[in-house]
Amino acid sequence: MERTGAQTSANGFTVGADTTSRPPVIDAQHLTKVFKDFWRRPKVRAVNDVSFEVRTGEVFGLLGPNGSGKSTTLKMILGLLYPTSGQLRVLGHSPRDVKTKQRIGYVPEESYLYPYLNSEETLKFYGTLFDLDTTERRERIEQLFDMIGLKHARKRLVGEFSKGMARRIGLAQALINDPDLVILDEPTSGLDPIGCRQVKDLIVALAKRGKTILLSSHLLADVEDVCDRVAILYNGKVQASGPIHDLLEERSRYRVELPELSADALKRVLTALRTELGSEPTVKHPQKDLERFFIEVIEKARRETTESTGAGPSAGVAQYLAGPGVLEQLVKNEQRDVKSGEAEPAQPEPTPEEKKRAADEKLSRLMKPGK
Amino acid sequence: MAVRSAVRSRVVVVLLGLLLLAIIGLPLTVKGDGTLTGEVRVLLSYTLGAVGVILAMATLWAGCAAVSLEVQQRQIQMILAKPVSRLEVWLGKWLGLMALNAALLLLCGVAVYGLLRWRTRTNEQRAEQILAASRLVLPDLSDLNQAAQRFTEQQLRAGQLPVNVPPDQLYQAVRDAFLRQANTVPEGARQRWLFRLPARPQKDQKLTIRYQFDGSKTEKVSVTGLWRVGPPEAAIPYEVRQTAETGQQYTLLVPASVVGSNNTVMVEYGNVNPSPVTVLFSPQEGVELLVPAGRFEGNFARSLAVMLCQLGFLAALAVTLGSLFSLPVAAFVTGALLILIKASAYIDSLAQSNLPIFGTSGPGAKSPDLVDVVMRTVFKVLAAVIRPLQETSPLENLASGQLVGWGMVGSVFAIKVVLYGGLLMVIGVWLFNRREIALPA
Repeated sequence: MERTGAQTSANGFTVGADTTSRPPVIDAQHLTKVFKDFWRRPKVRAVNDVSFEVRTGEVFGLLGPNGSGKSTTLKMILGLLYPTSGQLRVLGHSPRDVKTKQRIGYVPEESYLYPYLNSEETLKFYGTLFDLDTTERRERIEQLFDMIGLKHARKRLVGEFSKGMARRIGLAQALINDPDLVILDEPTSGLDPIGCRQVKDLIVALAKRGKTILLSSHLLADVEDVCDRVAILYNGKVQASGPIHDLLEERSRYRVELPELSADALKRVLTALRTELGSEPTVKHPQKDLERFFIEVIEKARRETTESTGAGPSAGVAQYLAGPGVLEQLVKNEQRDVKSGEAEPAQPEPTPEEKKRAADEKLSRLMKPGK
Repeated sequence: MAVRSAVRSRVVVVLLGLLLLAIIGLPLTVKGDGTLTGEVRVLLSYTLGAVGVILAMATLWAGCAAVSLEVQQRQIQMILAKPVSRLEVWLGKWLGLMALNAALLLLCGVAVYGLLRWRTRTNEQRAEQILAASRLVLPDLSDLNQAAQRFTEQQLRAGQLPVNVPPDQLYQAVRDAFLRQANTVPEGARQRWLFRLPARPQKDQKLTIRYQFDGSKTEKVSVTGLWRVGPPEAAIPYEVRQTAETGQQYTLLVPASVVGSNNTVMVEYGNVNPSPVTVLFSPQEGVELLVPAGRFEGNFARSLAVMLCQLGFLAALAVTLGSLFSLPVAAFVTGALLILIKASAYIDSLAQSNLPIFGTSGPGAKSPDLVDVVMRTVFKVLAAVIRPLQETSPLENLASGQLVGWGMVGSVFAIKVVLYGGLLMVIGVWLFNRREIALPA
């Protein structure tokens, strides 16, 4: 199978094509942030003349090593830090506009929760900040608990949670308002491989529903799996940016993948290739990646034992997040080649059997090659 | 939210323990004068006072910690990423603290009131006298003031008074002398005080005459006096002989029938002591009349309301500073400001005095030192700002059975909560809005 430029990204949008025609959700121009010391003398130039745009329905990744200015940029977008110079518009408004936050979900790099609240109260508290009516809030909390697999821990104080469980709560609180823009700071740090996979699936599913995602990470594999476009920061400056596919594609080389062939047939193919290339092609069996293998093992073990104190299996993306959003129509028009069975919306209150089936489906989905 | 967090963090449990200790423990440790009145006073002033102090400390601490700890532990980043303005954060913290304060104060109030009723259960009639709410009426001095005025003018015209002293200072001196004279009762003499009541008391009510005097001798003596009380225009209907020791406060109950037609009462004291001694009533609080003005319960509730308003100001101060500084800095600044408020009388005197403060020029120098001018202005502004914050404790009134009126509640609410609390909120939120709360540590 040949890789061509006309590839479909994880979220179904055509990569490298017409994202520029969509309205910008985040518009940063010449953004600069200088941290000052007590005497207001400049100390660190954390972000230095950074410009980028994130467009509706896009998964945008800010990459860079530690201390490259990713978090500072995100915090300026959230209005938690104020730019020293440059323009910044978020959903068409100033990042300090309180009302705009109605449409934003933020997952911080660590979940800073109130240790004396239990997980249900935590979600309820964040829900009340959005003036959700009680029934709506209750329903969403139920669905979010299903999604993050912490239903059994709803009465436990979040202060007692492991880092991974706290991150799941952090994720759930960010989605309680069904945001149009989701900002994730190091979304997979502190999560186990299954959690990482779930977060990545969630990001893809959200993007598919027309949500715009901005994430920062230094875990490149995560970014590669989900992002449409990236900007690579170093020392506060954008060093490279563009659609991830364009950045990574080696146009001067090809990789050919074949189904199992008889020894004879393989010989014939190799002979043909040898004459064509004038050199010896490399032949290997493809390997499963460790992540996929790990998930397979754990899911199998999980089906055999039902009791676990940690995070339980996820029931898929919460229904209200999967439901038709404002941008649903736009997305539908642009969607091409949507694979069936990908990120099915969760059913309300699944029975244990349905849950098991959903888990099975999920496993097979995860194991399906060639995302 | 703040409430639940506080409850979970067991701070409240400790606080409740402390408060209970104060309510139950203090009356056992503080010795009154052994009388029921003394006991009630201890309960009302010491115990409720201690409750107020404990709640104030807790409010200051919790208020300073409320926002500063959330900034330090970064929960605030998740809150402010939601559609929540900083004003709402400020208000939320303040309201949370006040809800907690109100609940605790109510609890303590109920406990103290229960204790009061329990202590006084054996003597209902006495309890009614002690647990009172009366309006304090001072003697009518208009005649005396006029007399002093006339005398000053006469003497000035006659050239008997020094001319280089301002006339109002002369008048004050003359009036003071008149007042002393009007409160001095030599042996065998009589003295009269006229009281004008704000309203006519009901027939079955009793008025209280409260008095305190010193003797002409330095050692303590007992003096027998004859009190005659009645309407000024008619015969004196009420007469009682009472022996009182110098330097102690005494009360005398008189029926409402002593009040004359235009709500006036004449009180006469005759010095009928067998051995010669001159009685000197204090010009300020020598003879006072207490007129019943409502139920004790109302007084008690209003006192608690005043205490709550005072806590409201402290909460506003603490939340504001806590949203601008880290916890230790906020706590330190709050403490410093409170000391400044406590020292307002001293600052007032510095602002008023003509003596040099920092300058080198002597008191007689013609042009005052520039440093002094600047400093005096600073002190004057400071004094003007903090003077209204002077502690007005309702507990003294409450304990002595004096009325804590709606006027006091209203003024404390208006000044401490609305004016100063509001000012702190506006300044605090404005500065909080300018603060970047996700700065690297």
